[in-house]
Amino acid sequence: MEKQIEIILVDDEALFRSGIKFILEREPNLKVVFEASNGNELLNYLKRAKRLPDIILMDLKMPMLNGVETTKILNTLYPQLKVIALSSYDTRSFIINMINEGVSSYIIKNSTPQEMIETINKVHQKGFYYNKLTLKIINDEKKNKSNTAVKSVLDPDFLTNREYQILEHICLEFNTQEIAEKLSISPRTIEVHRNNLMEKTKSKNVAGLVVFALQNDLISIETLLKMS
Amino acid sequence: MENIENVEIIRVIIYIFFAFILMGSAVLVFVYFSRKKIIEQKIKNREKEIAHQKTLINAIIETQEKERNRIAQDLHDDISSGLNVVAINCYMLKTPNLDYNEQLKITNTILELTNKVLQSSRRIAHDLLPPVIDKFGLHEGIKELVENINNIGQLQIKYNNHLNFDDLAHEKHLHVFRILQELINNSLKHSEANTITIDFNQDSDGIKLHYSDNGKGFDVTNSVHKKGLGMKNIESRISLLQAKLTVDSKLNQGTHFLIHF
Ligand SMILES: Nc1ncnc2c1ncn2[C@@H]1O[C@H](COP(=O)(O)OP(=O)(O)OP(=O)(O)O)[C@@H](O)[C@H]1O
Ligand SMILES: [Mg+2]
Repeated sequence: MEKQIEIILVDDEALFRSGIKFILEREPNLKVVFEASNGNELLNYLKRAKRLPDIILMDLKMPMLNGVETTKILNTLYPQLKVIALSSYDTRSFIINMINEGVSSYIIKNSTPQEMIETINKVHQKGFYYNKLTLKIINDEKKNKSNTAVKSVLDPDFLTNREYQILEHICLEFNTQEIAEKLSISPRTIEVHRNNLMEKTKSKNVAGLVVFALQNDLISIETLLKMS
Repeated sequence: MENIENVEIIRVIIYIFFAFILMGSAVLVFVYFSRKKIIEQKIKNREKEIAHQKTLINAIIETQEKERNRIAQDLHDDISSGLNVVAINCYMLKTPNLDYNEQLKITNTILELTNKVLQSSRRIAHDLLPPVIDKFGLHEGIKELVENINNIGQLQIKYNNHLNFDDLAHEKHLHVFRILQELINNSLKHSEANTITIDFNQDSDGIKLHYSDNGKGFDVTNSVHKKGLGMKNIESRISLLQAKLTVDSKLNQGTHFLIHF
């Protein structure tokens, strides 16, 4: 059997957590390894945990340490963790705020179980999953902050052709193996390119790469919307 | 001789004439300046009044914002998150192959939560405007308020009403109710009293509301007690009611409010 995706739920509403756990664990490949009712509980658990989980489902509004602050701390302590924001707020500023913190996805609490499960699977496989609303909000955001973007993007040598090609494939939700096959180069090389990309764009993960590409017109929102 | 006398007379007349003119202008100048002073004083008073009105308006706005904030919180915490869990549980019910016990458990959770959400929405609506005032009038509204506080048990309220509130214009009822709520809140929060009395009566002077607690009182003249919003709100309602408020309180001798409608 393939390895299960290990998930931590962080939400202050116990009944909500147990509902989500019930639904997720009906899927044979999903396993909830821990539940926390606020950011502090999560951090305490991670400090002692032998192994990091694959995915964290993070509520935003919680007592003690809320989801935004917790995600910030995770970014410095465990940058490799993939966080999915799970919130009752669906407004622009909340979404953008979390995207800027590098979350791999943002879904609202009344999403259907299918949407939640799909999001978790995609984030696990590709490192990010943004629905139409989120993509549109990320895309709109670039208008507000034009000129502040990294100047070197305009430099034609900013990305090599190869890097650009790989960035495009990442945005289109291909994983390393698939890109390697399509471009007939080794997965190892792809990984090197990807790391260079993250360094150049100052992204902490694949999700950050996609946000960067979208906001700097390296890929158009139409292309991304066509796929989903 | 005559000529000289005439000249003298004319001179006296001229002096008198000038003396009058001088006095006249002195009076004019005096009147002018004192008028100016009076007007300046009036302007000053007016400015003071306007400044006071402004603080009252600010107090109203600030209170409203606080209220809205609280309602938004309540809606989010109690209603939205409750309904989120209800939705999740409905999805759970839809999953195939549930056994009877699982179904029963989920259904019970849904029922329980629905009841809780219902209660919350009722409470939020009630906080906004107790429906009893609208349906059964101010007297019943105050009775309910008093009963609710007495049930908590921190202190006891004695409520006496010797008048028919129908004599009080209907649009004034809510103001009276809000003033009482605020006064009671203050007694609960600041006074350490164990008894409050609320007394409405009417005499040839008009309608009077006596409110007192037997708590520790406060120094009415001390400005440290002017920072809150509560008393400002009461003041603005009093001025809307065109009523008069007298506060009488001394340290350790309770607090007495008289509102004269
Ligand atoms: N019944 C009372 N007994 C003793 N002290 C009182 C009483 N009512 C008011 N005070 C004093 O007067 C102050 C002003 O009251 P006010 O209602 O304006 O503000 P607050 O209650 O402190 O704050 P807010 O009403 O804005 O929540 C209080 O802080 C308290 O010191
Ligand atoms: Mg008060």
